[in-house]
Amino acid sequence: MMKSILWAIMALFCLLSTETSAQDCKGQPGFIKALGFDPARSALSTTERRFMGAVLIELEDPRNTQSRRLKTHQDPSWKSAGYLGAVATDKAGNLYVIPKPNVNMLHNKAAEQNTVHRIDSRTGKMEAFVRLPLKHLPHERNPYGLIGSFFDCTTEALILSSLAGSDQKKELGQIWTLGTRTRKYSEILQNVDAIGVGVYSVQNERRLFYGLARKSELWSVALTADNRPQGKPRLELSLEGLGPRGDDRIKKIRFQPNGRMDLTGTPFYYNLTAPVDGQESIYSFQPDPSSGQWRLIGIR
Amino acid sequence: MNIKNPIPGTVVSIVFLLWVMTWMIFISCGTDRLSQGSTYSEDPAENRKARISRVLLTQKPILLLDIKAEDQEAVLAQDLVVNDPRMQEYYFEKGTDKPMLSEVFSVSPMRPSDQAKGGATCQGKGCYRVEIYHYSTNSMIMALVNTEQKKLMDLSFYRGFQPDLPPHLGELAVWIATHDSTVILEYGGKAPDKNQVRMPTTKTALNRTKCQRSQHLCVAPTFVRENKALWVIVDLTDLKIAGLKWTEVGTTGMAVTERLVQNEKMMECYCEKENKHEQDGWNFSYSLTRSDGLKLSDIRFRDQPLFEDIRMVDWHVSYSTTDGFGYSDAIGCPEYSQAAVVAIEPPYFEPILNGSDTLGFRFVQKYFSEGWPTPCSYNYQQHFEFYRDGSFRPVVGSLGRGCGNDGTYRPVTRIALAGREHSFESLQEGSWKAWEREAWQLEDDLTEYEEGKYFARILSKDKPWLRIEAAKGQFGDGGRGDRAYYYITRRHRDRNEGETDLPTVGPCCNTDHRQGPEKFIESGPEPIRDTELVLWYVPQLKNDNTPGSEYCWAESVLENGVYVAKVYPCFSGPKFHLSQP
Repeated sequence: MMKSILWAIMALFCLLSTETSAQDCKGQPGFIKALGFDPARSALSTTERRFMGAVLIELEDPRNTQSRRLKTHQDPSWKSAGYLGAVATDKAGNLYVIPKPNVNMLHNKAAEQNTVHRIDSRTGKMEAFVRLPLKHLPHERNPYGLIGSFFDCTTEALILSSLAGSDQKKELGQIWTLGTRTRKYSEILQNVDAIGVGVYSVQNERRLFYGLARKSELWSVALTADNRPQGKPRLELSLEGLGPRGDDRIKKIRFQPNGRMDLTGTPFYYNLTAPVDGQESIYSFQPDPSSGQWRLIGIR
Repeated sequence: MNIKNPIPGTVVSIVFLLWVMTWMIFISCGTDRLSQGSTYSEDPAENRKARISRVLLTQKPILLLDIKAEDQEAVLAQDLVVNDPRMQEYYFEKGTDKPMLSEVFSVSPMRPSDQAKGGATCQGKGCYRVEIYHYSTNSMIMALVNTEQKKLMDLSFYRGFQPDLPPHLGELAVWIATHDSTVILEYGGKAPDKNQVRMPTTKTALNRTKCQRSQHLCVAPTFVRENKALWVIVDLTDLKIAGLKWTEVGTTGMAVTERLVQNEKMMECYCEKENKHEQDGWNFSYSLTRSDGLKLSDIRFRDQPLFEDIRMVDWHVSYSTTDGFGYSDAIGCPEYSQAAVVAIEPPYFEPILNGSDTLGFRFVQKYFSEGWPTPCSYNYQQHFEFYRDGSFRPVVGSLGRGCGNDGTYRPVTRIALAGREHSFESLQEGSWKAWEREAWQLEDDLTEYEEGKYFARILSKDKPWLRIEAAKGQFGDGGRGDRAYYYITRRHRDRNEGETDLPTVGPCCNTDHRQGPEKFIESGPEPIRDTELVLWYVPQLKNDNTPGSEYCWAESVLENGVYVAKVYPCFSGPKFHLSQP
């Protein structure tokens, strides 16, 4: 019984953190309460079947993401950008969402796949926040633009990864920093296809961690106070051969207060195959002080 | 390989050539599928199959580990687990009581780490850990046993995880690998020496691998020859070869798995390359597209060009009980594509038989989605029938299963006719009438057919005419009739109306003619007499899961202790017949 409750809590964590980053500084979106939803049971989901865009859901059992939806709400503006992907929340409770094609590109225009949208904490309305430059449009060999998103509490910047324009032979992806207060953006890395991104301090050094889209590897690079890279990127670890599938790509990176690093892995092959239930694992690592390497402590 | 920096063109060319040559060595392209076994007299695989058949007839369908009799404690540990009532739910499927196959992989003293999992009260010699592989769910069952108390302390189920292989299965994998005809062919016509099953870098006899798509138990014996290693992925659930790949010895790269091997072969041999085929008077080129399925080009019969190219643009599926719910799927390459359902195995040829007569040949490509045939997953098939009399049928079919039993599939096929001066005619009040402008027509109860079956004919000034036989359930493939939409558009080589890969051409859920091709007509229908023409064909296939009359459907059923897909396809497509003016 205890085990199943634990799993349910883990599962909830997965959904909420998949779709609404689990940063410790995130604020409460004001519109949730204003709409009569219980903030403790509610989340913004971009993966509700039969809905395009974002949907506010209130769960019967907040420990079980599969439990009945007591209420759902979708503001008309939340579907104006087609299908959506990752969600990040700032300190004021504003939500930042990025587009993600689902099964096809019918509702996701190629030229809009590098646009960050913001749902205002107070009004609950979504509008285009910043259009990051697209050197190359998504095309028939790679439908993706923006794909990874993370709110960095220290700089109040969004860290965003884009795969726009890459194909089998050319790796043209970029990692961006975008000030949520200034709307100013700059490139942190180029010619790197990354999915999951996150910024964490390791031994008093702020580092950008990123999971590659072409390999099962996690890399990192040190960042300056204004999110410029310093020094060379380094390989942190590989998930190659691990878990039920052995070829997962890292789509989310989260550090726990005890230093444990949780990596969410899933298959990714630059196509539009629909996600399948259960094809996602969380790989937990702990730093090993003696070797300076990451030690795998569990897969769930 | 990424070429990021400016390099002189010659160097790039040489590097590219070397790269191409490397892949020519590493990937062998061919449309023949991997062999399903071998021909030899003493066959451990057959022995194992017989053993499995026997155990599935018992009350405990589990293969036991062969433990030395003197190790009585381990024997007892195994007995305690397999006879425990808690194992019952893993032995038989709920509802059908069909047996599900399991096998004990190891019985070993409990590890310190097991204490946290329920072994805390077990100390000393009688504490055992028993690992079982559950073939039907591709999962691991781990039991902790106290033989002194004769008690099962804990039983845990790990979905998608596989325990370490017992030695006898490793030996079986090597035996299958060294006796398989495909492996022997790949190894230069000589069976690899089983003593070469070793990776110098890892010092292990067998490499772990994953069969992510089949969800089977797989292992990769790896044979070293000079500075290369042949990885043979052996499927120990089906007892066959699941894939082959050569790698450089001593280099690290992506883990060699079923998915990697399948994707690499499809990309290198069919997505990046155009192939040609010639048989029974027919010849054509083919390649796999990023979103339009298998594309056939320059289709000729006895050197007469008939079709310039044929591609499968979209699969639309809509569900009637929920307005607007459904999907618009593209099919194509497994990587770097806009395909939602992907090709993972090479296309293949097979004869079209009528009794002992060969009427022609069929060219088949299947498309797969992860998890199929679980609900909301889709598999599709595209095939082309070439007859010796010059008739031809492009066929598409759904292999289920979809999100419900109220689905209607509307696949969109684009057929570009060869030649520059065509006219399209259909029967109206008993006589052939030419279509003057771009238009569409739905087959319904009022549709007229010549001889009860020919819906239309295509007249050409410089080549044989074509008559189009409508699909009304007469083709002997289980099809129940297409009630199709036909669209005729004028071909424009300077506009992208399907000249290159088309992105999704229409939404999932329109139930009328608005399936996508109408957008090339409605802006102003153009005259089409004596012009280049494109025929768009959209059948309507309603699925059914009623027992005994399933259609566009698939189920997972237990056979020989493991789940297999039972498929009820729905095939569609008109047949083109040559006709003299």
